[in-house]
Amino acid sequence: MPLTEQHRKQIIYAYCILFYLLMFYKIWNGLLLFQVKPFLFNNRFDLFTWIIMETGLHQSLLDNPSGWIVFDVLFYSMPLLYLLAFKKNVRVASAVAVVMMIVNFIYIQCYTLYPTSSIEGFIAWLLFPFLLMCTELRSFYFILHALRYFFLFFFASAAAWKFVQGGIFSIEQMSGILLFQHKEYLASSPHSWYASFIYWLISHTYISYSLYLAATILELSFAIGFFTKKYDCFLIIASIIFLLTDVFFMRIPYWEVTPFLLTLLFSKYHLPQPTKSLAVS
Amino acid sequence: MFLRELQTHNRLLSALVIIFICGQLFVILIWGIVSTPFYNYGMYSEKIAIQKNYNVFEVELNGKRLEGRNFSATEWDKIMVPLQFYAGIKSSNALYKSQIQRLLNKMQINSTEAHFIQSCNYEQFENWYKNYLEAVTNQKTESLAVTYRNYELRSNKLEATPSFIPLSQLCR
Repeated sequence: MPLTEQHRKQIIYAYCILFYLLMFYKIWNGLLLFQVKPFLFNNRFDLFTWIIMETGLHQSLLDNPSGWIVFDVLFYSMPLLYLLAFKKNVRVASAVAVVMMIVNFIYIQCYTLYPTSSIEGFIAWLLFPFLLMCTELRSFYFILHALRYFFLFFFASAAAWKFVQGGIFSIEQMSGILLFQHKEYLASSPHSWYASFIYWLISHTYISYSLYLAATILELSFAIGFFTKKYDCFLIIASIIFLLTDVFFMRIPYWEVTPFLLTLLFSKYHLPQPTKSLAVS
Repeated sequence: MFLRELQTHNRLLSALVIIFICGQLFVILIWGIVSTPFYNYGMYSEKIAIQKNYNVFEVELNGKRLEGRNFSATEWDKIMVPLQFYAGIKSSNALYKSQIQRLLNKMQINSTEAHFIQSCNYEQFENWYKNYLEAVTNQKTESLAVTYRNYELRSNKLEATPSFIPLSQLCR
């Protein structure tokens, strides 16, 4: 069955719903810019970031409550504006997606310079505006699939790095990671059930290593998606398992990559015929 | 196959996808430097050995030590990460001096030092952190003490040692 305008609508609505669910998650956890109240920043090794920093924008947001609110409102209103435009005219919506891309790039650059999260986790918000820019259904299909390949690369390359950098060849790797990741927690709450569990894993190096190995195999399994779409449903389940175990064992919430699941969910639809109508009702 | 189909459909779109692939490959080949939106997803891929000693932040609010078990993962990160940022000001500044300035100059961009360099003003940081902690912990901050203490791994448990540095002395 080919990809239709109806599928495109479903993808766009699902993307916006995910975006706003994550916004509520962030509000609940006090992670919006106006709640984080940035006071300092950290230089990182990113050429594009340096060009943004050269403008001084990140500094103008330090200790600037009205600036935080303007930035939050701009960033979080974009999908809504896009949806409104998409209902009226797909070409106007495409122009809004261009603005969304610029806003997302700037907001995420500044947001991740402050004590929040690493920028890699926000890759979905940086790349999805390119999908929303497509006016033609066939272009939409191609960018959707390009994003799917990117998501496969995202996981498969994480596994490949573990071989290249040698982490996979060290039996005490996961015990070392758990100690490094949770040292403040372990030192402050040594008698909690979670600390006892983490200490148990640390002292059983073979068991903790098997978790690391399982995670690597799971990441590596995404490489199969480069050759066939047959297993995309399993890859969706694998992604969800990975995200949940990341929260449980590492206390790292990586929910911002969930929009990529849509690329796997809709990959079964074929390339639409060139004669397909471009209008959106 | 995908790229060939894409090229038949739209040459511009295909060029954009190829540029993206090349950008990503470039970042992989010169591991260490990235440029948005091209990143390396190799977190915790390097060998991480079990150390004998770990340095740990201890936060004492109103005379009572904050414990990780009383906070969600995000709340705990919100308590700890600003301390790491404050303690890391010197290395952040050093990155500018050693790399950023040089590479921006190579790209014919005259960098403005003030946009990359921060000073270690502990009093200002402490005032901000006190207010910030109030929002995270829902407790009025009357007193605050932050130390960077050395812990030793003994029988697979972290044990505090008498050696510590107050946060005020971590960034000087």
